[in-house]
Amino acid sequence: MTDLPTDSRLIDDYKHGFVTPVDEDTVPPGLNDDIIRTISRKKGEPDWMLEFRRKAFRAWQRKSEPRWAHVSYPPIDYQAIRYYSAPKSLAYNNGELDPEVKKTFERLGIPLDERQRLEGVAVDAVFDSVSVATTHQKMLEEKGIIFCSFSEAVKKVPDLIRQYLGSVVPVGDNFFAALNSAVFTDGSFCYIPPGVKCPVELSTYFRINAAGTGQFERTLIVADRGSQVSYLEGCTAPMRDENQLHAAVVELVALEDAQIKYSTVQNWYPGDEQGRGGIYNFVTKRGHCRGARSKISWTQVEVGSAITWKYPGCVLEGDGSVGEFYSVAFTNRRMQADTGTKMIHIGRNTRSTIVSKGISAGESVNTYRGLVSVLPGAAGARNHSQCDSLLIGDRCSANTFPVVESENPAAILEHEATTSRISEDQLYYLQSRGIDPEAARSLIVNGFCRDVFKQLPLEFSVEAVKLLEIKMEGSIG
Amino acid sequence: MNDADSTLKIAGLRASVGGKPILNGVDLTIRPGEIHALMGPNGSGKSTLSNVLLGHPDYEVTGGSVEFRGRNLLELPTEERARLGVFLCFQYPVAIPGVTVAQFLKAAVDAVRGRGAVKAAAFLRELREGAKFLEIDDAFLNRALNDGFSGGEKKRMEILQMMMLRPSLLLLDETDSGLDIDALKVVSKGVNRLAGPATGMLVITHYERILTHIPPHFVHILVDGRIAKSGGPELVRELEARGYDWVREGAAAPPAAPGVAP
Amino acid sequence: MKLETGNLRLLFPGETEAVHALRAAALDRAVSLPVPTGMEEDWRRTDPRRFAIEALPPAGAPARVTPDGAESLDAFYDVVVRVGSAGWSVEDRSGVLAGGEVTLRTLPEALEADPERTAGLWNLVPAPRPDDRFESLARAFHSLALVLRVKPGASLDRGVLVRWREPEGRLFAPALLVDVGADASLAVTEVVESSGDGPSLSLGLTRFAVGDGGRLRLAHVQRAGTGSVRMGFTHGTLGAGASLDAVTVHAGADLVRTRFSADAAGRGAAARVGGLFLASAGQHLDQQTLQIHSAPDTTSDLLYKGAVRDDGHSVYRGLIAASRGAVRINAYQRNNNMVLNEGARADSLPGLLIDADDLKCTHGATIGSIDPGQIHYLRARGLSEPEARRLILDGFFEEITSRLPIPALRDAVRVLLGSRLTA
Repeated sequence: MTDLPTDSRLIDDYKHGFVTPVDEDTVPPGLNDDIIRTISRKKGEPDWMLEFRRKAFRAWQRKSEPRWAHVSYPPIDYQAIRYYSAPKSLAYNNGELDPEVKKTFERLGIPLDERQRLEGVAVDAVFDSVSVATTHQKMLEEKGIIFCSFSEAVKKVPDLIRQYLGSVVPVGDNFFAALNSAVFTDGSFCYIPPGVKCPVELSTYFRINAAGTGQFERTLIVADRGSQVSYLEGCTAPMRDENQLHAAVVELVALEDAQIKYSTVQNWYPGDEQGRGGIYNFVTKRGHCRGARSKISWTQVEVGSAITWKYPGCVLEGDGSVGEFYSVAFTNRRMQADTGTKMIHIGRNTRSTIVSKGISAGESVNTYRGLVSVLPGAAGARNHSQCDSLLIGDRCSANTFPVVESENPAAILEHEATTSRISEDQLYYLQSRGIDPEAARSLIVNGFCRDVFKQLPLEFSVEAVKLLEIKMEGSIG
Repeated sequence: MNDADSTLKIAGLRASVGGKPILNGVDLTIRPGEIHALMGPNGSGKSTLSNVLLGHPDYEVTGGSVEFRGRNLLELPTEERARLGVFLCFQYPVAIPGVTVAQFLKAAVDAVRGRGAVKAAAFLRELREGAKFLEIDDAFLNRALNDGFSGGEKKRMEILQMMMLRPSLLLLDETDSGLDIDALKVVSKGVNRLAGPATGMLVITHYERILTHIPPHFVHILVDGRIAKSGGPELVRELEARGYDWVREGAAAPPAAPGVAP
Repeated sequence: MKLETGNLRLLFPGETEAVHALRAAALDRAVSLPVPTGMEEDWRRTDPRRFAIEALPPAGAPARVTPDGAESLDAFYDVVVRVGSAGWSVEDRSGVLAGGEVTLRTLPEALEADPERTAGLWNLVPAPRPDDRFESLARAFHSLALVLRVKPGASLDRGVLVRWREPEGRLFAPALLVDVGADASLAVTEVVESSGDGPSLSLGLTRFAVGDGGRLRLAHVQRAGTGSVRMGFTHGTLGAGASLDAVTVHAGADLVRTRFSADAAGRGAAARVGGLFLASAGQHLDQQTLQIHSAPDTTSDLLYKGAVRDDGHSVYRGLIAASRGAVRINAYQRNNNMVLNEGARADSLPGLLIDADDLKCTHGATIGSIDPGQIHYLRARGLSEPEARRLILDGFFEEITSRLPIPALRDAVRVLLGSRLTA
């Protein structure tokens, strides 16, 4: 992976903004029972999948869209969105992937040919609504690892899907999760058999291309007893004047002694200087440490989207299980990020760590919102949270709203948070050593985010640093 | 109390921490007026012994008995042991924020020497006198107990507590570790003031340095949770010259069980 | 009782037009505000229906009587005000009221003497979180409102003690307005009690304004009986270079919901705010604090410490709000909680709401319990386990107790906590 050019996939401002000219197979805009039946039929799904979708749709109809303080956007017309869009010529299995789609991913630094594939990373590429390619299949199969598009998994391993789908994020969990459960078109599925340590990083790359569509992908990862997997997720979209909706659901299940590491670098199009366009990124991500001593670790670098609304959390049910959340959220221009985590301590001696670093610039609003809850049975539970915010310029806002609650006398919870601007002393010191102010700010911000970046797999970490540097350019108001 | 009552008799003591056996049958008798030194390599169980004698909740006693003043100490809650006259100078004294040294010691003196036994004025006099003797600034008496104290200050505070509680059995758990020579002298001065025909002492240490200030009558060497060798003060010099390996080799021979009185 | 303007004249007959106008405006405002249902973010942890405003008849304004019933603490104050069901009295122990440096008036008197300033203080609300329905009701149904004013440059040696004893079976709404002139200095202690353990509902309103360079020490000790349900709304502003040192102690009542806020509104103002609370069997304590920085170079330092035991439940909600332009501010907020047994519950929601850039804001929250190592250490010195726990808790609270302005008050609070801890 060391030969991967670091200025490739996720970097620049905003060079992923191109549109790919492919014929799309779409459904008419709008959401109703017929559309859901159409999506399910197009995907050749079994009845139980259709039922899952319809149940979710009914739940969604009963729910109202959440309205959070400190997040504002005009109402979304859910009947104006196309809920299915796929490149017409899809024939990856014969090695005949639509050349335009292939080119798109190559431009993004994701070669899909097995010959040029990335070393050490197996990629599932999702283009608009569907998975277009998954690399490294053979090697993974030898280990018994299942890593494929969600649609394929529904056909190949229906029992696993039926067992785990919606078991972490129920269909009616929240407005956007219900919407996703009703209309999701594809995504990735991953199953690691007992005792297997996945030898490569698994990765999904999401690309929104078509106009007027939403992207609703679904990711489900199941790590069986004693297994380990590291998973990467990256996202980009073209520059468009309209706002596009991305409402994903990610479910992670870790059984006894299993470990899942889930890393995200999110660089959806954030909109222009005036706040026109950009992705609404309303995502539900949750991990369930079902087995004793299991561990789920979330790392996210959020630098894109007009609005981000996501709280990757862990339900720590297994005794001695561990949940982690490491986050860098950078907002600029008119971006709004409302992100954080939920750690629910149920089992005994469960531990959680939260490290959140928010950087606000421009006229953006960057909010950390978190919950740490220790239920009565969680004796010996420990939590440590550190939430820091850095302000760049005087027109941005940084908010921190944690909730810490305990019903157990043998639990220890500690939360610390600071908000400040870049220290003049630090800047002065670096400048006195000949570093120009912009580079100095960049250095300081990188140091500020270090605890999070070092959690990323090496190649992602290098990219994240570069990405943040580019995002910071010109952000000094 | 008579002398016979105040003899500490440890017989066949076994203890473990988190299921792992640390003490594997310790036998030791300390009579009033005797100063015993307990030495041994790291991990031999020295601190475990002192903690077990005071009933620390993390340590599980799995066998044996500890007799003191006609009671089996192992059956008593920690505070009863303290009230019987057992005093442990902790290796790592705990801080209690918001509770001043004076406030804490008044509560302890009331508990150990009896409520009302020492009137407030007499208590303060005694406390100030003790502090002066140990070269502790009076200001410390109104600071929160061990909160932000340096290592040396904490150890002096332990000795001050000892002086105020007047124990008949003193356990020093590596009290010399981390002390500079001046602090060690002050601490020893306090211990020696307590020493006398009514008091038994167990000095647990890694180094012989403290033993030049508090000369022991008996020296024991603990290896793998058992007393591998016992003798007089000469053992210290021998140990210094030959190291613990020499004792280990000896321990491999048939079990040495000095001073066992079943 | 119906929430209708027409009822105000019946409940509070013979009042001046000015006071009636304030009541009517407040009632209109209250009726215009939504009735909380429990679904609101702010109300998820405390059931609003337990504050049954309409269930108890409002207490009318008590008559002024001659002072009696001194308690030992009273000797440490210049002025002692006692408010009870028999009436209210003022004891000018060191003649400061007679001297004119300090005035103590009822709301109608103050409205007459200084209408604008009094009405301004009465209607003061914190900008980032405006008043809610209950706060408006406290204004509309206030039983007795006192206005304490210190002239610029004046200062009291010992201060003012106000004892509120709420009547049983009534809606009691006491109000206290404190107006500290420029460069003046004042200490005010409020002790809140109830006359028994019968049901009572109290809505307390406190407002303060500290002029440039002024200094206010505010202590509030609540030790009401078990039948008491209460709400408190405290808010005030600090002028340039002014300082506030406030301590709130909650050890009584069944159900408490309070909000304390201070706005450092003048350059260089400094607020130091302490809170201490203990929720035991059947008690639910919900406290909110707001540190507002609307001026540059201001500081705030807040520490709330509490313990929950039996099935007690505490909620602490804190917010630091810095507005644009409030540069070079330093704000600190900490909440430490002890959960003493299973069944008890502590919730902590510290928050930062920052719209300025040149600042340093820090908050921290911990929830834990007594460290077993500390208990063992004290037992090794002869203390029993209950004694050890008591001592450790005393130490835990001491950080706040020691901030109380008068040694005798500190002792009184220590005794109060001791009795609640051993109950």
